[in-house]
Amino acid sequence: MIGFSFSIVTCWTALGGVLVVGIESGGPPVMVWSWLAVCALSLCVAYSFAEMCSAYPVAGGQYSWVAILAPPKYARGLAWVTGWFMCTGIVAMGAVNNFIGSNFLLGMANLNNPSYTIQRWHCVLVTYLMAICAALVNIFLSRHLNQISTAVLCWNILSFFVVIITILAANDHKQSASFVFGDFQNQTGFSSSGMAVMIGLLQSFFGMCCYGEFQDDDL
Amino acid sequence: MGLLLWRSMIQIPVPRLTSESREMLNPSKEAPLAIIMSVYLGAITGFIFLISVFFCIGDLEATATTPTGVPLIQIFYDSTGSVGGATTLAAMISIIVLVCANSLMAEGSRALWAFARDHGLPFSRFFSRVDKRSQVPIYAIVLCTVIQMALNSIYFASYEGFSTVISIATFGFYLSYGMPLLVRLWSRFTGHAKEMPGSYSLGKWGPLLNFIGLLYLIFAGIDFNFPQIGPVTANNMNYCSAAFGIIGLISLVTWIFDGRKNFTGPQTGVVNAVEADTQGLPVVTGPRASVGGGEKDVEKEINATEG
Repeated sequence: MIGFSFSIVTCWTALGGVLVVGIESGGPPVMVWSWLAVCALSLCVAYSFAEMCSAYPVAGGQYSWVAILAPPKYARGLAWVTGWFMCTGIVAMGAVNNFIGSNFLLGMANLNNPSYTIQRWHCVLVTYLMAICAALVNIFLSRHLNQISTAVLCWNILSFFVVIITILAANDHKQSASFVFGDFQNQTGFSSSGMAVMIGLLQSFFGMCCYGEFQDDDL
Repeated sequence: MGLLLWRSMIQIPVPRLTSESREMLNPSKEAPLAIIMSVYLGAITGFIFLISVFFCIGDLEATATTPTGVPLIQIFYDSTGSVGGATTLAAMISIIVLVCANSLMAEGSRALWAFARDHGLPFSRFFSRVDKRSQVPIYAIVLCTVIQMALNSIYFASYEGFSTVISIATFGFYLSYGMPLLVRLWSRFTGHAKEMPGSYSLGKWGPLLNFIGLLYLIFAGIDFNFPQIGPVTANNMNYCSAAFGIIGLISLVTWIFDGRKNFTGPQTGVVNAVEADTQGLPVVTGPRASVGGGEKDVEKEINATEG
């Protein structure tokens, strides 16, 4: 159940972490409308998964379903490919999270000391630190991981409300509705606006990508 | 215990009856709902968040090029007008992200460990080892850490390192999501399609939803390999395709020299006696007795793929 709740609440933090991608390409309207479109299309995938999961509620998710559903002659090879994609995706997701964490930590440092300039290599070194700390926690404190994730789940829901209420209440120069839903931006350096939309989509694709990762506590 | 974490990968009926798993007693009914609900709820919370942030955003150009490097922190600062307020909000999110790093490390290393157990990785025997005393797959954790650090290092090479790694992660996820949809449609086409024994069925809408979902995932997959900023140079290139080229090559070489012979496929439903033994759980070797529908089909299929 924790895995399930986790995927609900990570959408907004994921979107917040990669906001820089969307702002430069297409701006608010592309992100808002592409979010809705991506969610609608993701539902097609989610309903397909629901059918498979109901029939075969097994560990390994997609990796196992491919082995079960494929024509027997190709099942092993296709499961192999799926397994590699899954492993790459989940490990790279950790790397993305390290980047987001490192960006936030250095961003707070810059906010409080405006004379400090963030360099790319600072950012990379902080991601290394995060990866190593996470590894040490997993090796030495693995028995506490579930409690930690339950605690942070409550923290996450609290943060969602605090962040949204604070910025909406404190901001006294809000943008117009046409700015949020209509004005197109293109700062990508490509002259074509189609290109900007294609790049802006990346943020929505990323925000809505963990719904298939349900196997840990749900099954 | 670390045991709790590996529970689902090992798939023994016994732990399902212990207290922590009572909340979801019928996975074939409730897990499908969980998948669908997580999309709906994620969509709604994400939408609320995006709208709120965009109503509060200041000058777009200034926010995108903020010296903090994080547009969201700039938006917090513009909205609250105080460094302390913005730092507090940013710190709340940072805590989530820092804890997430542990969960993602657990997920990543567990996926690698389980795949190594099926002989899916190079040096599988090594990476599938579990520390006897602590029940932790230390080598898989170290492997996961090293790959994460390597991916983070792309930022040294390219300004677009951050969005490249986002592309790699999402590309990997989307292709692994696309595979079961492709396989399902393919099986219908070749006549290998199985009756889906589950209680949740899409009926005649199944093929259509599979097809739309697959098209969408393929479109997204192509999109991830687009350059992020023009004009394209080596400094700002999207290394997603290059990264997948390297991963594909490693995968192919491993398949030719090892996987073709030794890869077992997913071992769902079959309990490895040694693992069960080290955890003090009863060894179950036959088909699983109770949980959900369609277990027996799984069992047969796994045996078929192994043979």
